[in-house]
Amino acid sequence: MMAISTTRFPARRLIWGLLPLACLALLMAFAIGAAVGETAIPLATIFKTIGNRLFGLDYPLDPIDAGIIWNYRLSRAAVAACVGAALAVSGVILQTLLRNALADPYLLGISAGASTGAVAVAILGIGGGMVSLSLGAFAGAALAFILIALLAGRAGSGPAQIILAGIAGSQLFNALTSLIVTKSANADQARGIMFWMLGNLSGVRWADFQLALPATVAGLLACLWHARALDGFSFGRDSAASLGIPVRRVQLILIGMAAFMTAVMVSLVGSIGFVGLVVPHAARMIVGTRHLLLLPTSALTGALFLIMSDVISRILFEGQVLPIGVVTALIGAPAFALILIRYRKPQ
Amino acid sequence: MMIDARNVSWNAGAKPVLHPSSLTVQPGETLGLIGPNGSGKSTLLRLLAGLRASRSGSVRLNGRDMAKLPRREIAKQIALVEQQAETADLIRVRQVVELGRLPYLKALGRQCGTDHDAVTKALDRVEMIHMADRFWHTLSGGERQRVHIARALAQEPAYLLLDEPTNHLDIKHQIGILGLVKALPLTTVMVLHDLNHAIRYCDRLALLHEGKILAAGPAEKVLSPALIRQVFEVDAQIEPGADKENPTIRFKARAA
Ligand SMILES: Nc1ncnc2c1ncn2[C@@H]1O[C@H](COP(=O)(O)OP(=O)(O)OP(=O)(O)O)[C@@H](O)[C@H]1O
Ligand SMILES: [Mg+2]
Repeated sequence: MMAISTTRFPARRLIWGLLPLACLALLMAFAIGAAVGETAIPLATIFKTIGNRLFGLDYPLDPIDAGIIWNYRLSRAAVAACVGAALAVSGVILQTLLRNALADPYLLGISAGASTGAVAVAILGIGGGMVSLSLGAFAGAALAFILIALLAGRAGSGPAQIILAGIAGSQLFNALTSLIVTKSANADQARGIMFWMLGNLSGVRWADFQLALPATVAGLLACLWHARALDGFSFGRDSAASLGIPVRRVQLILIGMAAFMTAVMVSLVGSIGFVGLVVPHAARMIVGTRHLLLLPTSALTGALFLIMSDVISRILFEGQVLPIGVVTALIGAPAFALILIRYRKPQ
Repeated sequence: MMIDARNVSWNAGAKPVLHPSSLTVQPGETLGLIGPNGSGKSTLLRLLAGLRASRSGSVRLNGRDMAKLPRREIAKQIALVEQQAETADLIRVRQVVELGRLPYLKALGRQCGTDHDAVTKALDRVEMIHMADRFWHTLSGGERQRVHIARALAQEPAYLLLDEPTNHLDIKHQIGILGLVKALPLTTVMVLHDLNHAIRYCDRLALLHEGKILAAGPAEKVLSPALIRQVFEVDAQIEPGADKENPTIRFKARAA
């Protein structure tokens, strides 16, 4: 035997070491999210508000400030965190299972379907006012995903088939959306829809968080439970199967989970691009490819990225809020270019 | 203890790739699959590994129908080294070999000492221990092949299925890997292109041609000049080995 020690990747130790840092970063992001806005509010006030609300403390505070912080800004940051985490985790899942570095949750046609559902409700008035925009969007997203999954299944259900079916489906649903908007929308409606299609966090409240949090946590836990199986997909589906992984079942559960998380998030805040594509790559550069570590890191990075993007969208132009999708694309596209270059391998 | 394929066949769409064939892998033997490109060797190997569903008949592993066994149970018995398996992941050699431990790990359980020992031993056996921390994409073709073999060994299977294991290997490592495989107390099925390797390292051979098993049995029976001419379209001369040596085949390309 040779006396060469090979390092074991200290995954667990790293998790425990990074956890406090992660919590601190998340807390800071929340504080910044709550402090920044049309009226800047000092950090001390923010922590006091949180103390009053969560821990029953009794700091004397201006009720208007406290209301803004709690009802508008913190709820907004909390939803942003969930959306960022869910999209990033969905991105990891799809990139791993489809063996494609360019896979992204919106590739499955989910955002296109959600848009169609939303305009069908908002402009065509489907549901007669009984159906909310969010519900319409969720229904559209689910419908699009089911159609695309069926098409991919008929085409052979390989990774390439799913991606190509997703492209075809997205084009179809985007065309339907354009058709409805040009045919029947007035200028105001069209503007509202466009804003929503680029991502819009301005209307979110704690009620949205009550939907976003369980969806995100359920998705993350389901993925963590399959972390080892996901590792086994490194060399493709046949290799995974020969390592004892029930390939079809894992794909069905996890791609379904990614579709569900994405559909929920799109129905709440519209489609926000680049999070699901870029964040997983960034996380891989930090912690490597092991999913037990990669999944929580991606979730956290996605949450931070979206909270900060939202802050930027509010302060970039005074008195005007940019759609958050514009910010994530402006940061995400160059970041993705950098990652592409760094990932270059000598062939 | 055996893999018993009875009347298995496989189609690619409407095109038959493997016609109904039967093959039994005897316990402890080294079985070689030979045949020209596209004759169905890899397809048969995947059927034996339970990775493809046969259109007819069944594959039995120790008497049980493999189609009904959980994947994890099969993976504890059968390890497969594919003809080609690549990844774009930024992954280290040791991590690749650790994949072989997946059938033994619970969803959230951690790797224990046994797992680490199996991985280290497997890396040592293919002489890749000194590259354990290298990234996959920095390895040469032959080094990748040896890591795949180490991954299969780390799986601690009873059956080792290898698809062209000597692909990319230099002559020293070809002989090294084949010798290692032969010496392991495992039942092995391997696809080989070098007929002289097949004679030397296999107990039995199965010769495939156009999706059919033309002959199966000891090398001297399967590799007659007539069959070689029919299947590979080359003239061959079999020279008996001196003393205890194996016979050698010499080839002559046929004039067109
Ligand atoms: N999925 C598939 N779709 C279409 N044709 C296929 C498929 N899989 C295999 N084939 C065809 O079946 C035949 C046998 O393939 P197989 O991979 O078993 O050959 P092989 O004997 O391993 O050849 P080689 O020596 O080149 O590796 C080939 O002609 C191949 O083109
Ligand atoms: Mg082959």
